[in-house]
Amino acid sequence: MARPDALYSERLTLRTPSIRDADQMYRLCCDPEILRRTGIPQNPYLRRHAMEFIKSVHRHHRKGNTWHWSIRKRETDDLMGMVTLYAQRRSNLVAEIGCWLGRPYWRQGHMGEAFGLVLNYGFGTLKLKRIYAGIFSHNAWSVGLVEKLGFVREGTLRCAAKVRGRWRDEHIYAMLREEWQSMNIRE
Amino acid sequence: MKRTREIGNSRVTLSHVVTSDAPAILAAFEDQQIARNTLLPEGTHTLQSVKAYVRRLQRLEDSQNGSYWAIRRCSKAELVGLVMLQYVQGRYGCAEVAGWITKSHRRQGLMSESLSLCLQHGFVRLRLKRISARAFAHNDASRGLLHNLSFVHEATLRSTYFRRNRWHDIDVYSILADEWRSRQVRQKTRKRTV
Repeated sequence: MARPDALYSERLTLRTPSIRDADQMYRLCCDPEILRRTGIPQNPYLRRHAMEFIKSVHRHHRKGNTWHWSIRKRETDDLMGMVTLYAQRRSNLVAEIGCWLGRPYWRQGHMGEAFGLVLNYGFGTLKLKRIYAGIFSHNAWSVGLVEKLGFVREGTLRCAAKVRGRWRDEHIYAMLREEWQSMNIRE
Repeated sequence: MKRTREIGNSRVTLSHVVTSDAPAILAAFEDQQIARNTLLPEGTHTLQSVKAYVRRLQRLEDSQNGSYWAIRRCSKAELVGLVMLQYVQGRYGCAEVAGWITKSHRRQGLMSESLSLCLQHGFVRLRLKRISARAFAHNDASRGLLHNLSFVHEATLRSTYFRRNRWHDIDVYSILADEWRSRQVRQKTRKRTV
């Protein structure tokens, strides 16, 4: 399968990251706060990790079960973060959404906007049945974001992962296709 | 790569799945209750497809993705079920248990004992932190079994598995190493009291 379509909103462009994004991705991802909140396993985060990730994006797109988008300012094309839809098997119609956003771009509604575009693509274009997110319980900001978007908390996996030496619980949030449809109708 | 050794107690032995188990596994796959309650692939199974399934389990075990055991009564070599400790992620200290047992061997405590052996293997030998299990929300027997083994219900994943023309919810359970150890202590104390 080819790379996913580019997606556009008023302020954002979402498109496949390129190898030229490695430097900016490294600058944003080596922030300890990003590493603490996400499942990025490398610590310290190096430039070569960003390079390896971007190379893997193209491999994943060829497999056809993962869709990666870089989140960029529409005006300047600056890289702000990344959002990914990952399905274990394309035929499952179930995918996990994951993301991060660089600290300079927090609290401006960018991630909500990017999620909206990806949900529309997942449910509308890919015809998925279910999109879910695993969020560490200490990441209150992401919890607030998905709850605001209408995701439902389905439970909490205890000690789901060891992140930088500490066992962390993980909340599972999900949105079903019919929930997305009814929200679209209301809007 | 080295495979997991055979483990067991006075009633059950968990040993490697071998190609000669294929006829017994095929018979089990044709059991509607197993088909309805497990995540086995849908469709018609043949002796050839089951032999391929056995080879796949052996390859997974060789790649240290998990341990896949045949459940056998101690006195007999016949396979009466399968139990597995799969998706082992040493880096995160977690794995998942799953299994099934043939109709004529249910309600005898064999699955409970097999899962207990799996837990012991995971927590003692592999030093895992967490072992999870998934069960269809309609599968009361498995949910009851997990509850009796002190697993904690953590989540119900809505419409997450499509089977037989409809979407199914799946319950996620887990037991942590500390909880398993406390359970072992409680059981030993109870035995001494009796």
